Formats: sequence, structure tokens, C-alpha cells
Amino acid sequence: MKKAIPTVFIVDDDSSVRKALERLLKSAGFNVSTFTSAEDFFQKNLSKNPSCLILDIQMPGLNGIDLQKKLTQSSIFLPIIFITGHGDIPMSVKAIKDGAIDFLPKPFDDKKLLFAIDQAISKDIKKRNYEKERSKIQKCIKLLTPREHQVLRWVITGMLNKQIASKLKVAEKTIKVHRGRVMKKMQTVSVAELVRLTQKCGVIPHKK
Amino acid sequence: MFLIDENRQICKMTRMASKYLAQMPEEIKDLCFGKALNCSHSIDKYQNTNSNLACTECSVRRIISKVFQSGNAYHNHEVKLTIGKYPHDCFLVISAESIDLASGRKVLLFFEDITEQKQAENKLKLMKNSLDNAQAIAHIGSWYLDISKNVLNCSEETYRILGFNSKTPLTFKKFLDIVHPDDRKYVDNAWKVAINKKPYSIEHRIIVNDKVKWVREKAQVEFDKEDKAIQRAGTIQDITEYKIAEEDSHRLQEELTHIARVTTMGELTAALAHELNQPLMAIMSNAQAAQRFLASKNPDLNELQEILSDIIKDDKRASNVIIKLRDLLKKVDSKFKILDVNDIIQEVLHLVRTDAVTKNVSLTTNLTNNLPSVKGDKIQLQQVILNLILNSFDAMSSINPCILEIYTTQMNKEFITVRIKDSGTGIGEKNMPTLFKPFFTTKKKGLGMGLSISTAIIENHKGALQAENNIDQGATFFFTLPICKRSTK
Repeated sequence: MKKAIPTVFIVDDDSSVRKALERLLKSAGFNVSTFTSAEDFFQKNLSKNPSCLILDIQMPGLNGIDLQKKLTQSSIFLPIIFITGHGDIPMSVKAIKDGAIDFLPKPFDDKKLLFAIDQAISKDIKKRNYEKERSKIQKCIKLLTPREHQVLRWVITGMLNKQIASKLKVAEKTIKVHRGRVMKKMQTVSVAELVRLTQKCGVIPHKK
Repeated sequence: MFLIDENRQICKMTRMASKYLAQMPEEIKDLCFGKALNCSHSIDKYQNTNSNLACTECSVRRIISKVFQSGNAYHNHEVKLTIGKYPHDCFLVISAESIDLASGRKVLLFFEDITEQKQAENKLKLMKNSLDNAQAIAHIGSWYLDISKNVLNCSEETYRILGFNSKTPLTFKKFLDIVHPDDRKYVDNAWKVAINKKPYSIEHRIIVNDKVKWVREKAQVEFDKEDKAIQRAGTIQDITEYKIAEEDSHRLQEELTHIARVTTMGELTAALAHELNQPLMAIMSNAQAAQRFLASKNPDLNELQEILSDIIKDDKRASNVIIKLRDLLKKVDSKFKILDVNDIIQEVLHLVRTDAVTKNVSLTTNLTNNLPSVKGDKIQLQQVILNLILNSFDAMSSINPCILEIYTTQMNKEFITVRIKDSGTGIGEKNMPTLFKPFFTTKKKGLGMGLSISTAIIENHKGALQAENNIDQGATFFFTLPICKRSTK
């Protein structure tokens, strides 16, 4: 499969900086999409390709830090590299704590920027793969009947069929059938794998 | 008039003469002239007049004797005598003439009493002395110019100030010759204008013995009934020392102004670093992009051309920031030029824009088009506006929303007004009276010099700086500047 070209979003109110960064990143082989303000960017539908955001901090209206907060609140995950004409230490600490990849004071050279973008993009790819897997598992879980879902939550506690049957006051054989269906629907063969998948989707084991 | 015989005894006298007698006319028989008058050669003291001693020295006695001997007349000899029962000094002009009568040679002695005249003269001399002293002490000379004769009459002090010998005859032309060449036209114009009954009050330089002196001149023209200027009377004051002191204080004020300006700029460093880093960033990225293009197989030369012109553009942008910064930080003598206040405001806004963005201040301007020009020092006025804007930013640091509005308006025919209105915390009632005083500050790191120096700058421009709280929220600082009349310069 052909590897998708990553997209870099640039939000900076300074046209010279915007243009220069766009040129630099295009020459480094990225798709680049630029925005003059945080508001403009917020209205944009995000790319399906791996991407990251280069975000200026000082901007009229919504500033960079505000945009970061707003994205988090809207559960939009996008690795952010902050750039700033003049940043102070508290500002950079806060940005990094809130999940930014890096905080680059202008002027910085291409190596620093490209390194940060690499990190950001691979983080985005990882996140995207994780999301993909999670949604696949979610889909499997949705196929389960309520009873099967209940059995699943007992199975991942590590109990044997006999024990589960006693808890649910049904025949051991019934549990065995349910377990078989669960394993099939979840496309797995081992309990260990089942535990890993359910963990990813936040399925909580029954209390013993 | 006395008629005196050879024994210097009074034979006859007029009634006017009898008042000089020390005794009643009938008691003077057998008394010589000096005794009869109880006169003594003045020793400027009334007590202990010993007429015998003095008489031998007395010129009156000598004259009488001479006239007797020679028979020649003697005229207009001025003497000072102490005379009378209650001795007092008299100034007399005496003349003597001999007449040969049947009873023998007699002398007619005429007294002309000029005591009052002398006293008036002395008084006048005293007054002149005191005037001369006063002029010398105050370094103020007086003069008057007879316009028809073109003669300039000057007091001693005027001569001293102008550096002429007090016997030199002076004319206006001669005076104009020692006026500093740069001021000559100004002085000449002022004189011409004064003819039209305009007040003449000027300060200018003169060159005396190769040294520059500053003088202040005031004068009035006197007119005859036909309204023709006949003479001019005036004063000239040597204000060189005052000018030197003034220049010193001016220099100090300028230094203080500079310090305040640098301090104010200090508050802007973050914003200015941003202003510089933006173009530097663009230059860096463009240059590195160009390197990448060049490393590729077929570099797009058009693209490279574009990159280079962008680099040049950003370089200019960065150096413009530095030039503006340097202007504000430079120590310069104040230069008054004709200025458009709107332009000055725009330039300041350029410097504070980033700061406004960082502090989330919405900045709007309502600048009147075709605002009349003012005459002033650009850097100093920028300093005032910058100071007021930064103060407003501070006043709004805990306020939301932060709104700063700048207005320029023409107030009347004389003045324009600049208003800087914020939505900050306003000015506390108790701070109002001390607001513009030195060392007043509400800021933790403030020097408290900003507003007091701003006031000094505006007053130096013949305007006024004031403040008031807004009706709704925040405060407005406003200052006036006189409109520059086109005709000057």
C-alpha cells in the first residue's frame, strides 16, 4: 500500500512566516495547509492522512493556547508543535503539559522543525492505528447479545466456565456455548487476547 | 547785591541781599562782610564754624580784594558757603565789579543763589548713580532711539552689554552689526513689526569680543500726534547666564526624558523581540527552503527568485523595526518640526501592536482626516503616546474585555486634541491630585516618572495633558497641542 503523504497544518497570523514555512515544508515533501487564524483552522475538516499542527501562540482573537484547549475539549486529537516569537518558560511548560509535541521559539532551523514534525506525525500515525483497532473491536463488541456481553465480562476476570455458571446459576454447558460464541464474534482464540482487546475498549470485568 | 567798601564792610544792600545777613541790618555796622553774613567757606558741616580760620581761605574774600586792587570785574564764580545765623550750605554764583564813587572805590557784589538748582542736580546725579547701579546689578541696560536723527542713546550698562566704549556714538545699524548673523533677520523683522504698534519683546544673541551673549530686549515706540513714530525706548538685558542655566536644565530634562523613554521601551522588549523574530523566522525558513530546492535535480529558478525577494523584503522589515527602536532609544536633542499627529500615532501603534495582541487588547483608532499639523518633537510625542498606551494596557491587565480607543480631533482654531480611552480600572479618586507628580506610581516595578515627564513634554509643546474617568468604565487621558500656523517656516 502506498504510504499517505502527511499533512502539516500551519496557523500563523504573520503572512511572511506562513509563506516561508509552507515553502520549507513543501520542499521537505509534506502536504501543507495554512490558516491565518485559530478560528479559521477550527472550522476546517481535518485530513484523513496523518497530520500535525504548527501553531503560533501570539495571534489576535483566539491565540494558540486557546486553540489547543478548544481542540482538547472537542476531543480532536492532533499533535501540536507550538511556535512563538517570544515565549516564556511558564507558557512553554503549560503547552507541553497539555500535550504539545514541542515548543519552538522563532527563529528556529529546519532540522529542529522537521524533527518535531517527524515525532508529531509518528505519534499521529500511532494514534490513528490505535483508533482504527479500537473501532474494529467496538464493532465486534456491538455484535454480542446482552447475555454474551455479560459472559464476556465474567470470562475476562479469568474464571472457569464452572465458576461462571455457578455465579449466573446456569448450566456449565450453557456458559461454554456462550464463551464459544463470544470468542468467535471477537475473532480471537485466547482469553489473554480477549483481555487485551476489551481493555482497549474499556470493558470492565465483573466484580467477583 | 551788596555794596562793599575797602574795609570789606557792607555799605548798602538790596532787600533780597539782606536775607543772607546773620544779624539785623542795623546791627552790622562795623562788621566785615564775613562776620555780617556769619559765613564760612563750606566745610560741609554746620557745627563749629570758625569763620576766622575759614575766611583767609575764602574765595569770596579773595575776589573782593582782587577787584579792589585791580578794578577789574569778576564774573560767575561758583562757591559753596555756609551762611547765616543757622548755618546752612549755599551754592552761590558770585560776580563782583568795582565802582569808583565819591567816597572812594567800592565793590558791587552780586549773589546768585543756585542752591535749589544744585540740590536738584545732586538729586539727579544720585538718581542716575542709583539707576546705573541698578542696571549694572540687574544686567539691564536702557536706551532710546531718536528715529528722525537715527541716534541711539544708551545707558552705561547698555554700552557695557554691547561691548562699546561709552563715548561711541551708536546707531541702529551699528547695533545690528553685532547681532549674531543667524539672528539678524529676526531682530530686524521684530523692529519693523514694532513700528506697527506691535510689542517688541525678543531674545537673541549678540557677539561681543568674539563671545556669544544672549540678550532680551523690550521696547516701546512713541508716536507723535500724527501717529508718526518719533522715538523708541527700550531695555536690553544680558541673559547669558540665565540661558546657560536654562540650557543645562534643558539638557537634564532631556536626559531624564531619555531615561524614561528607555524604561518605557523596556516594557516593550517582549513585543519587540516578537516583531524582530517574525521576519528572522521567515528569512531562515526561506533560505533553508532555497537550499533544498538547489539540492534537487531541477531547481525551479522562478521559485528561487521569489524566495530571494521574500528574504530581502523580510530583511527590510527587520531593519525597519530596528530603525524605529533606535530612534526611540537614541539620545537626541529635541528638534521641533512640523508634524502630523496621526502619523505619529500610527508609528507608535506599529510598536505596540504585538503587545496588544499578547495582552488581548482590542485597539481601535478614530483619527480625524486632514488634521492640522503641529510643531513638535516627533520622538518626544511618540514617547508620550507610547507611555499613555502602555499605562492603559496595565490598567486593563485584569479586565475583560480590554478596549483601547485613540481619537484625534480638532478642538478649535488653536488646538488639536489626542484622546486615549481605555476600559481599565480607572483612576482612584485619591490618586487624581498626585497622578502627574513625579514618583507617583501604582505599578510594582514603576519608576513613577512616566506621566510627570509626559506632562513636561506636552507643556514644552505649549499644550496640556489631563486625565478623567469615563462615565461607564476606565479612564481617558487626553492632551492638546497648538496648531501650527502655515506661515511660520
